[in-house]
Amino acid sequence: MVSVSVSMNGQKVKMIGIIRHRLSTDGDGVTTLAAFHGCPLRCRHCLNPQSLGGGDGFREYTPDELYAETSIDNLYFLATHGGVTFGGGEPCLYPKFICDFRKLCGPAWRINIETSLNVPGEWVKTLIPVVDTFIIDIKDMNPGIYQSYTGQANDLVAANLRLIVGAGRQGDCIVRIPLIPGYNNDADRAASRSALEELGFSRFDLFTYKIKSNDHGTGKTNMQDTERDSSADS
Amino acid sequence: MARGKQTCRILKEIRRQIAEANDIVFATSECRYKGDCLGTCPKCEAEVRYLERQLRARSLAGKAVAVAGISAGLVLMAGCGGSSAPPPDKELQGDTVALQEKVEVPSVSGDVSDIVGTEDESAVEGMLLVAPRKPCAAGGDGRADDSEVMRTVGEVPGYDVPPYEVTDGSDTIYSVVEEMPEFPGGSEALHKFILDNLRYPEGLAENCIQGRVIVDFCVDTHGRVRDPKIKRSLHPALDKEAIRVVGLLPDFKPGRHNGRKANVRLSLPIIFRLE
Repeated sequence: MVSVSVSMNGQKVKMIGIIRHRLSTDGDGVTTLAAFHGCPLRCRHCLNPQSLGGGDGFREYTPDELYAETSIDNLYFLATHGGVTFGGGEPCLYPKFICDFRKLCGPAWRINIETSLNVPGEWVKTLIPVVDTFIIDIKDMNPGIYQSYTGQANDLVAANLRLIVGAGRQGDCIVRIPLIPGYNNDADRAASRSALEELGFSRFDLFTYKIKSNDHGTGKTNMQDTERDSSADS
Repeated sequence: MARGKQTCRILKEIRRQIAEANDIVFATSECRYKGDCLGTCPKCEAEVRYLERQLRARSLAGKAVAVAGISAGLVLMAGCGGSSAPPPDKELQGDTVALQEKVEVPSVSGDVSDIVGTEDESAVEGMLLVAPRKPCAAGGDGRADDSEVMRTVGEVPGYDVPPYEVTDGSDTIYSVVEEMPEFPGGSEALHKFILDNLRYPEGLAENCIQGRVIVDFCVDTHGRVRDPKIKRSLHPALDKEAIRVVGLLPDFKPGRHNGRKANVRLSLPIIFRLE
């Protein structure tokens, strides 16, 4: 069961962190990363495990409060075509919050989301008109590999990918395809890429998880040691 | 730390390009901040606020303002990675998000030089709140409750004067210097001083007047507070009280610029709010 802070009528949602002055790592220009708490997945090597669990100790924001806090970098956003990137956790769990945020910041700021797309289609549909760039972490297109790594099925992901293509927004997507040691290999990643190209996606970020072994014989890795080493191609 | 310094350089260049594109006189100096750098600091933040005010003034004067996209290519050219294709064998920067502590009330820490604010209330990070012990009640001495939370934000001005210095015929008065003046004991001590000395005027609580007064003053090369003036008025009695308390402030540690003590103009917003 996923613990989600519901955003309704301006109610507050939990953020695990807000990081300013990101330079072309979460979208073009200068961006601020706003990471939500809550995620439907349980990835074996989660990069932000603090986004899971009860969320105690994290600050809550309304869209107005987040806009006020991120406005400090308005000049940089305007000058570099930057803006706010929503991540987490899973930002697509909070479509109304993001829509309300768009109403506050207007069209001048870019809004990007880093997402797994493993959410109901209606939520993605709500976000399509207000999001500039979707940065999609696909894990792997193979259902068995996906289930093994994340603990969830990827039916919703596939449906949402088609939804985005149907809306003509595939050009605004960057699909991240990781090489996950122990779960997939180069052939799997190539197959994922081919499947995505068939759907109509053309912008990819191929990278490799570099996992430090710290199992002390338990077979478990320390999630905090998970790193990413990019061997990118697009 | 190196990444923070690189971020700082890039952001500084963006500020420079904005200033150049809008004919804003903009004198910045090499960063001498020691220690871990997150890419910004109070001096850098003050430069952004200054540019915002200058751009606003230009807009109000009917002049064209050029900001959108003027530095769009700078981030990519600086080698920070493309939006879709990081260079090979490089570690992605989508790293772990640092835990954010849950805070009920934002607070300002550090000394006066850390205090930066804007005219936009929604963007100000902290407010100095003063409320009578018994809001809107007749009688009482109008004294602020010592137990109430008070937070202070100051603002580095420079609205309608040359950017970083104004010459009044005797001493040069700066609005931003490399080392801003410091209140003895830091911001917390400043908070306490205001709290201990500010009085909500008797009889005024009945009128339930609340809002913000901004007081400009100069900290000279001896650290003395000079020439407090109302920059934003709320009510004559509250303005008078704000001026009175600023006049009581003890000597600051003076600001320094280019290795020499400098006169620096500061702004201090004081919010009177009834609770």
